[in-house]
Formats: sequence, C-alpha cells, structure tokens
Amino acid sequence: MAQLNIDPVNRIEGHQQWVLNHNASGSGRIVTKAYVKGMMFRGFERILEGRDPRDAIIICGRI
Amino acid sequence: MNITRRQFLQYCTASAAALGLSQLDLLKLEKALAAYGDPNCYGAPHVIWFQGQSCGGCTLSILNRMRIDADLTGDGVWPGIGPMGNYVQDVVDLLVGDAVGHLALGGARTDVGAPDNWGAFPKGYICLDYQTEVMAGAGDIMMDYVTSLRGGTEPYFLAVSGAMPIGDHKRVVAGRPPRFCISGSLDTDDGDGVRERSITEIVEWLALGSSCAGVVSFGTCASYGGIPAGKRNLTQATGVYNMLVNYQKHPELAAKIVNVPGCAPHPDWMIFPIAYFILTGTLPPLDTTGAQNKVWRKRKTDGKYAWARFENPLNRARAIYGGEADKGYANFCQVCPKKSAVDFCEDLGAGAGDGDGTNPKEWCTRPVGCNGQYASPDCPTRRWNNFDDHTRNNWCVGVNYVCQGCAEVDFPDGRSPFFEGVKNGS
Repeated sequence: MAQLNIDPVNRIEGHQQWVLNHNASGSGRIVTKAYVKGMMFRGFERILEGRDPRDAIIICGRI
Repeated sequence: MNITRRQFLQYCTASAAALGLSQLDLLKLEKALAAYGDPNCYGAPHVIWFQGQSCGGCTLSILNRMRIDADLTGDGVWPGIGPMGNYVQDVVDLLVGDAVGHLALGGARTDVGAPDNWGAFPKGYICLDYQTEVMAGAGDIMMDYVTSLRGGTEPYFLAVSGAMPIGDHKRVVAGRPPRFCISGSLDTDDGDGVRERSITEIVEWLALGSSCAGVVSFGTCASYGGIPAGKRNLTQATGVYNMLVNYQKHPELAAKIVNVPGCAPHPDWMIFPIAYFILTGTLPPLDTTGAQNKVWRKRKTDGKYAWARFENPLNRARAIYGGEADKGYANFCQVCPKKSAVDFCEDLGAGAGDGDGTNPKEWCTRPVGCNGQYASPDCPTRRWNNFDDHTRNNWCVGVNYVCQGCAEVDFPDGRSPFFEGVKNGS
C-alpha cells in the first residue's frame, strides 16, 4: 500500500491535506482510501464563551 | 501593467518630493532595479507567505491591491479593467501592480507550463513565491521550492499571517506530533525528515535562514495573537514576535520582525514595510514602545488557566501607527468628522440616514462602543476600499459603525464588550 500526500493543498483558504492510499492492480493502481484532512484548529466556541453575545458579531466574522 | 523602467524612474523623480525620497534614494532605487537580476523572478525580492491560525482575511485584503489578470499582450490594457497607466498615483501602486503574474504563477516556476506569450510579461517588484491561497503548485513541489529558497543566496521576506499556537510548539519540543496548525509536510532540518510540520516549526526554520531579510507579521493575529489568542482559547495562540523571541528563544531575530497589525490590515500598511525595504534597503522606523502580549495557558503551579504575560515592543511602522509627531494625530477622535456632532448616538440601529446631521447615526458613537480614542492606525485619512485613482472611500466610523480597535495589542479581549461604551462621551 502506497500513499500519496498532497500537503498543503493550494488555491483554498485554510490548511488542508489530501491523502490517497493506493495498491498495485494489474498494470496500474487502485485507490483504496482517500482522505481530506483539515489541519487547523482554533476553538472559536470556547473563545466565545462568557462574552457579551453581541461580541459574536465581531469575533465570528474572523472564522 | 506594462511600464518601462525608465517610465518608473521618471515617475519617481516627479513624485520624489511628495514621497520624501532624496536623490540618494532614487539612485539606490535605480541600482536596486538593476541588481535584482534573477530571471526566474523578473527582478523582484522574494516573499514567502505562510499562514498560521488565520482566517484568510489578510490575504484577501492584500489581493485588493493586486490584479490576477496580467497584461499578457503587453499593450497596456488589462482584460476587463482598462488601461492601468492612467490610474497610477503612487509608488506603492507601481510596486504592487507589477506583481500580478507572480500570484497567478505561484512564484515564477517556469516548469509549471508557462504559456509562450509570457515573454512579454511585465517586471514584477514583489515575487510572491509561496502563498497557499493563490499559488499554482501544491504539495511537495512547493515545499521543495521553499527549501531551495531558504538554502539559496537571494534575500527573502518571510510574511506570516495568523496566530502561532504555542500548544504545538510545546508538543514538538516534547517529541509529540503537532496538532493545532499543520501548514505543510517538509523537512525543517531537525532530524525528523519530511513530516507534517506545525506553523511554529516552519516560521522558526524560515526566520533563522541566513537569507531571511525580515519577518513581516501581517495582521493582529501574527503580530500580537489576535482573535485566536482570545480568553479561553485552547491552543495557546500568540504572535510571531512573542513565539520567536520568548518561547523559541531567538532574541537575535527581534530587530528583524515588523508587525503590521489590523484585522484585516489595510493593503497599503502591509505593502509598506516591503516597499520601504526595496527603496531604502532597511526596515521602516518602528514604534518600539513596550506592550503586554498575553498567552492563555494552564498554569503548571495549580492547573488553573491564566494569562502568561510578556512585555514586547510593538514593532509597528511609525508612519502608519504613530502619534502626532509621526502622522499628525494619535487617535481617531482627533480627526473624526463626528467630533463636533450635535449629540451622541445611543442606538446604532435608530433612524435612517439623510445627511442633515439630525440622524442619530451621524453622531459620535462612543456610547455604543467606538474604540476610536484608543485606535492607532491611519484609517480616518487613508480610508478603505480605495479605487485605483485613490478616491478616499469609506472607513468603519464613516459608515456609521464603531471602531473595533482591531489593530491594538489587546484586540479582542481589551476591546470587548464591543458595543458598550463610555456613556457620557467625555
């Protein structure tokens, strides 16, 4: 089983990886599993806790 | 846009007085244009832009100043936009406008299928080599390119947007894989080979490169921590200066780090340090007064969450963020057109705009939370969303909203709650 990693993915906002697991099959290869991985975490839900609710107008625009 | 070097220098000579450039500066500029002779980059200094915990707003802001459609036929006309030459107003325009094709090319990699007519491609003055949102290549070919730039002899700027998660830095130091912000898989010369790398490792590795001319932190997140560093955040986010100097212990980098705070910063603010470097060979004069950077983390002594505090210099360009001596005013209130308003606005949603001064929306919004008295950048004079002919367009206060104080060190926690203000407006 071989793996193809595209890290990072371009032309998008944010951090993403594409991972393909592939096996030999006949004269070519077959993809057995494919993953899209999101690679960045900030935890906005936790950051918003305990604030004035109107602050979400300002803060959530930056997601 | 298609402008010859001679036209560019003629323009600069005419504008020299307005720009504050001396004859010596113009001579340096002429030499600089001749010296950057790398054919791969059309004669431009390299900029490598990595993103940490960012929202992409800084990229969008700077893209407002750049054009993706190049003048590929060399006749001075851009598809759908019209002749650019007439609208050029200042050196920044010339510098940035010429960088277009590099955004589309993702760093002038000539082996990714450049069409034949790019022989007529105009000279670029910023070679944006790596930027995930706009580059043409992906994955390991771009990582190899970045590695070759770092090991090369040409100077490059490391541009960073987005916060740095110290949680990742601590995991990497402890030998565990990072998990909060992976910005690529490459080898950063620490013995692990090619593996997923956190932005903390990538920024440290690139900033320590011998060809690194400077580190420019775009946005409040990369400058001081910003919104990801808000109270109760789980990743111990902080700014690039704090991470490089205080956590990763590289004090020799302190002089190379320029902060461009703002959420998002104005594209002119972002271009300014790089344009200044191209013109003069040094970083612009910085405001180095100290201010507190706070990092939210679990305290080792009792396991409770609290702020770790660091006194760091602001390191922001004085021409933009400075006080009366630098740009003529220290905060928005000194130049805000609403200063002499009849009354104070108590409710942002009240009334309809009709321009005769009786509308609550045209009154000073300090009671509803305007942070103009603390705000440092030049929004009231430079304004935002400027067209090519630099008509001064809008800004937050001018559209009857409040200033969020988004370029300050303590954004957002020190400015929160955003819609509660000083009641008597004094």
